[in-house]
Amino acid sequence: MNNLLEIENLHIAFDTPRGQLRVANDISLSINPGEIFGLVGESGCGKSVTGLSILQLIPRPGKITYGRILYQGENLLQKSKKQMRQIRGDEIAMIFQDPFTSLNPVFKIGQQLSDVLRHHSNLDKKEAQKRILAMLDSVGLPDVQRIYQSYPHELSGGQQQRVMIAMALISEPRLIIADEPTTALDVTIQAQILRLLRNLCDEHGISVLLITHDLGVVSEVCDRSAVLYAGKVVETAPADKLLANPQHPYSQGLLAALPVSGKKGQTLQAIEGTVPANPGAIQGCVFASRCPHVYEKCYDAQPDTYPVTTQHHAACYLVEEGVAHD
Amino acid sequence: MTEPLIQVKNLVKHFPLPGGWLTGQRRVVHALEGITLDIFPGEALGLVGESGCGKTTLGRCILQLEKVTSGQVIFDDVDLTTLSSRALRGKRRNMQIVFQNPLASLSPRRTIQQSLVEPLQTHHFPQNEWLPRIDAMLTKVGLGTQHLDRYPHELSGGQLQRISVARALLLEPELLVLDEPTSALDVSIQAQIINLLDELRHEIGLTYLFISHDLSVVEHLSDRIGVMYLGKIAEIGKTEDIINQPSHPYTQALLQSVPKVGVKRDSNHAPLEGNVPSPINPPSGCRFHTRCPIAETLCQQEEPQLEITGAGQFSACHFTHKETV
Repeated sequence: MNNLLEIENLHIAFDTPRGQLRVANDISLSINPGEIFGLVGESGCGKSVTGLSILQLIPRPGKITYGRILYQGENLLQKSKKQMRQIRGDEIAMIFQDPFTSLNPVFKIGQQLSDVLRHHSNLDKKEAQKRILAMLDSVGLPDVQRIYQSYPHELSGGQQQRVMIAMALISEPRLIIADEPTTALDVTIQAQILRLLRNLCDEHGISVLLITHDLGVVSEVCDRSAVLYAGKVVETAPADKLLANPQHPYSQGLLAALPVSGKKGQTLQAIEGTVPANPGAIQGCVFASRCPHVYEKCYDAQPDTYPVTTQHHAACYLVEEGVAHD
Repeated sequence: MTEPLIQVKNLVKHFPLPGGWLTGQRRVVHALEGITLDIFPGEALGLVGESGCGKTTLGRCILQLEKVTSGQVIFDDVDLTTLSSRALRGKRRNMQIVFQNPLASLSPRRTIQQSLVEPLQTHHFPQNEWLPRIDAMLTKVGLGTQHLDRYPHELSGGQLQRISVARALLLEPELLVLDEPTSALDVSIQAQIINLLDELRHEIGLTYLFISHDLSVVEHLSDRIGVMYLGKIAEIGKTEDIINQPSHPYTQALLQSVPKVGVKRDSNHAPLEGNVPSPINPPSGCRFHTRCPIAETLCQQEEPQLEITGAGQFSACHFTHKETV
C-alpha cells in the first residue's frame, strides 16, 4: 500500500438533546507520502472535525460512528489509548489555528518543547536542548537561545506559529495535520509559514493535511485537494486541476464567489442560500438546495463519486452523465 | 476638483500604556503618526494593512469614537475634534459604522426591531416614520419584515451583517465606515455582502471608508486605496494604479504575499522576511526599513514624506520616487 493515510467512509456524529447531528457523512480520502493535501470548505463543513478524528481528538459528545482510518495500512480506530498516545506526536502531529492558545502561557518555549521531545525519546536534558535549538533554527527562527528562554507572549504570532511547527516536527512525524495554520496571521507572515511547510515536505518527505478555507492557499502550496460541503467530500483532484477545471457546482460556486484582481466593480457570483442545518438528515444531494443545476434526481438520492479523470472525482450526477458545465 | 467630504489633517493618536509613572518614562503605542488624507463625496476609499497598522484606529478617530491626540478631522467645514459630545451627536447622523462581527455589534437581548428602532429614536425621527423606514431599508438589504421579531442568535452571519448595514443606513448618512465587514463571513456569503455594499453605494450615492486586511476585497470595492504600515500611510492612489503599478516596496510585498488562485509560488521566495516591529517603539527613519528589500542608510535616518509618483498616486519612500522619474 503506498498511501500514508487513508480515510474510508468516515462518519462522525454529535449527540445533542435535539437528536444526532451528523457532521461528517461518508468522507473518504487518501494522502500520499511527501504531499500537501488540502481540505477546503466553509465553516461548519466538517473539515476540522475530520482532522481531529484522525488523532481521535474529537471533543465529546462527538464520536466516529462508522468508517476506517488507515495509517500505513493499520486501522487507527482499533488502537488502544496507549498506542494512540505514541502515535500522536511520534507518527502524526497537529498544528492548530491559533498558536497563542495552543502554547502554555506559563512555561518557557524550551520547556514545552523538551516535554514533547523527552516523552517520545530517551534523550538526556543536554542532548534534548541541542536538538530543540537545532529544530528552532530549522523552522527559521532567529536568535534561538533567546527564544528557548522566552515565554509565548514574548513572541510574535508568526514566531509562535513557527514554534508550534517546531513542536510538531520535534519527534519526526510522517504526517502533520495543520488546521488553518495561517488564518490568524498577517499575509506577509502567512507567506513565510506556507513557504516553510512546502520546504519541509520537499526536503524531508513529510506529508501535510492542510485544512483551510482559503482557495488561494490551496493553489499556492497543495499538491492535491478535496472540497468538503456539509460533511461530504464533493470533489477530489490535483490542486491545479481542481482550481482550473472544477466539476462540482459547489466548487465552481466557491471559485466564482472570490473577488479576483481585474474584475473590480463587477457583481460577484454569490452562492444563494445557506448551508443546511443538519445535512445528515438530507436524503438527496446536500448541495441541491443551493445548486444552480439542480434537477429531480438530485433530491431523490445522494450521488456517488464519479470519475472525471483517474485523479479527479466529483460527487455530482452531471459528472456521471458526462454533461460538461462551466 | 470637488471639495472633499472629509479632510483628515496630520492626525496623531497615541495610546498611553499603564505604568512607568515612577521613572517618568511613560510608554506609548504610536497608533497613528500624522495621517493626512481626503475622502471625496461618492467615492469608496479602501484602507489596507496588516494587524496593528492603525487602519481601524483611523476609522474610529474619523468618527470621533476615539479622542485624537492631535490633528484635525474636517467634515462640513467643521473640525470634529473640537466639538462637544452633544454637538457631535448631531453630526453622527451623517457618519455611521459597520463593524466586523455582527453578532457582537447587535445586542443579544433585543429583537432586530428593537435594535433598528434605536438610532431613529436617538435622532428624534417622528414615531410614525419608524416602521415604514425600517421596512423599506430591510427590503433594500434583501431581508423582510419576518426578521423583525427575531433575536440575533436566530439569524445567520450573513443576515446579521445585512441588519448591521441596514441599521447604519437608516439615518441616511453621507459617510459609511466599514470596518472589516466581511472578514467574519464565509466566501459564498462574503460575495453576497460585497455585492450588496456595491449596489447600495451606487443606488444611494454613499461615500465609503472601507477598512480591510483583504486586498482582493478592497480592490473589488474601492475607487482609491490607502496602504498603511505602522501608523503611517505608505502609499495612496487609484485602485488600478496601486494594484498594477505599486511604487512603495511594502505595497509590492503585500500584493505578492496574497495567495492567489491559479498561482503556484516559487517555494524559495517569500516576499517579506521578518515581523512587523512594535508600534510602542517604532523604527527610526522610514518605519519599513527593517524589512525593506531596498533599504539603505538614508532610510534609517530620515523619514520619507508622501510624494507624488503618478497621477493621484503618492508614496512615502526615498527610492521609489527616483526610480519612476
